[in-house]
Amino acid sequence: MKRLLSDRSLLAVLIAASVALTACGGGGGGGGETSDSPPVNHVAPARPASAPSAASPDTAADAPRTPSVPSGNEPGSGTGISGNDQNPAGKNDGDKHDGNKTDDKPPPTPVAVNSVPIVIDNGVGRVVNMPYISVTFCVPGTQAESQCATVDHMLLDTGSVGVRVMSTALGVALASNLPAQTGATNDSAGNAPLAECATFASGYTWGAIRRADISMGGETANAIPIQLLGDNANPTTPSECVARGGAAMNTVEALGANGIVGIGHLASDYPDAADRVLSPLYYYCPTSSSCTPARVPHDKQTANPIAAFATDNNGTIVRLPTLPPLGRASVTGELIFGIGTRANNALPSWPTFLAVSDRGAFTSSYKDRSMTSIIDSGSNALFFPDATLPVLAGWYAPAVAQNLGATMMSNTGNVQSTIAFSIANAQNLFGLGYAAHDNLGAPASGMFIWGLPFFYGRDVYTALSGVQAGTQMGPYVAF
Amino acid sequence: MKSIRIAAALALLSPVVCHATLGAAPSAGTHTPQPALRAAASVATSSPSYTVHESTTTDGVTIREYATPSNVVFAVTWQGPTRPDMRALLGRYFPNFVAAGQRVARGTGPMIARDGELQIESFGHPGVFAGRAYVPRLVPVDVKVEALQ
Repeated sequence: MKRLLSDRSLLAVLIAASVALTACGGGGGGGGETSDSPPVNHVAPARPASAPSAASPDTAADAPRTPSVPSGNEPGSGTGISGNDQNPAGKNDGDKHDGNKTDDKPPPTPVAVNSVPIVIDNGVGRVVNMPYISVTFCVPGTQAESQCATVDHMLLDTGSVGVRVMSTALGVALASNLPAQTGATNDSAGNAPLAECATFASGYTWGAIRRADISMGGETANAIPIQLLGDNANPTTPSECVARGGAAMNTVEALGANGIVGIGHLASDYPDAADRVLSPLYYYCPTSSSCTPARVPHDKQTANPIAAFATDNNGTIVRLPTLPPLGRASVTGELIFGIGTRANNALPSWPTFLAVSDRGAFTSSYKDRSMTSIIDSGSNALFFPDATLPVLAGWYAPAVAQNLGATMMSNTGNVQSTIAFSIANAQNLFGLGYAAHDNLGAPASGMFIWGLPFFYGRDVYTALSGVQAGTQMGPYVAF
Repeated sequence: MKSIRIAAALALLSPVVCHATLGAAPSAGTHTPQPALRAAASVATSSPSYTVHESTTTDGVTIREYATPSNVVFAVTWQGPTRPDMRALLGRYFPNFVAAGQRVARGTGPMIARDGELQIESFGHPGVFAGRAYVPRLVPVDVKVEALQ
């Protein structure tokens, strides 16, 4: 993609697309499956999964639906619900902490200034394994109630960096009071507001960059750049943003959350964008309808709130309880700020340290195959290739739960850790209507993604890049 | 959707052959790569029932296009720091990709979905993306798509 997006290159993109449409014939209309449901609140079977060729139209990463196959065999609710506390040893690796026997009760109110509760529930729609926290947004420098809003169900994402929030969740008045972030390096006037196109696995977010004070628990990041989603400041999404991103995730319904709290390893979301124009990514927008691809200094990019805290700013711990084999309707856990900075965030005596890239990448080996791997709270299952496991509707669905294992390999040193996990029949689990399962899996090509199931029953430490966190320098993931 | 309509309108004015897209000939053949797909390295390997054309985009994404003996791309895969230009890669199936993404909420997580004729699988997070898309109808009978990486 051209670095300097002019009208000409925009046109080139459009022509490229049109070329395909022209010469390759036919419209790409979606067929019969495009309008079957609203994005979130859909629990009914999408369609009968009849012919094998039409199998798996539904989704792994999708929010679960009532199992659609086989239709005569409604799973779940008849047998399992009252028994879901049996066999609490759902996972059999030995290195979990075990302090969460009361995980079906509300946790004690956090007393620590450096923590905030995590909830995994269906509070904003029928989703599975989406961890949420609450965040308070204020106009920078103010704490007046009228200048602040606390937004719940913000998706906690160790796989991305930066706070992104729906303007509707903030309220129009507050959203409009947040000052615009300006200062693109290639903006000669220097005063044009910035906007961003952020790409995620299933879509993109588009919206203006603003400044806000971000508070979580008792800690505050002052006047950091955040992305405001769904506002009208820049109504036209750049064509190349759609070309890479696909579907827009600028509404609560489309995202499945009121926003995103990205707490990955970096302090700003795209350090490379300070040196060169990445497209599609940052833009400066002198008017609401004219946005130009931008270079943006680190301190003006969408920021990791952890890195901007005054203290406890070297990383986080995600702490979630162990789950029974059938999962739980909802779960509460804890996000703790800082690593080795207080009594409540020390590393364990013998942690597994995985040295990872700034983007969290390392290598996992599964059944003699090594592949790129990430540990990512924003991915709702374990995604890995295994042609021997049956798949239904895009999810692994073995008749009997399979006990499997894969080996994580640190990017440096000889650290290896073999992780045991279980993969159950996803369609049966979805019949329960629960929000939390530690044994969901789906086929992936070319990657091993340790999504939220990995986090249950563990303390997962995410150390920021280039800073000391306990006995080691980040970036690392420890558990 | 507006931009898609614009593209469709432009299509009527554009008498050019198609580029490297799903359902068309691969980019590493006789066609000129588009900017998004400009190859830093380009390798074609063969197996009995399909050919693989590998290229690397200017932003470091490795793209493999799997083509039938009659030179129709039936599957594409990508892996790299960002997602490639999916409109260029998927061609007429791009709207299916968008529709699949819109159907349910996935947060920042992966998508494995079928929409119309397109099977789409998109994984990863910023800086680490991978995925695969194919048209089952076009896949040769002796090819196992699970093996395509």
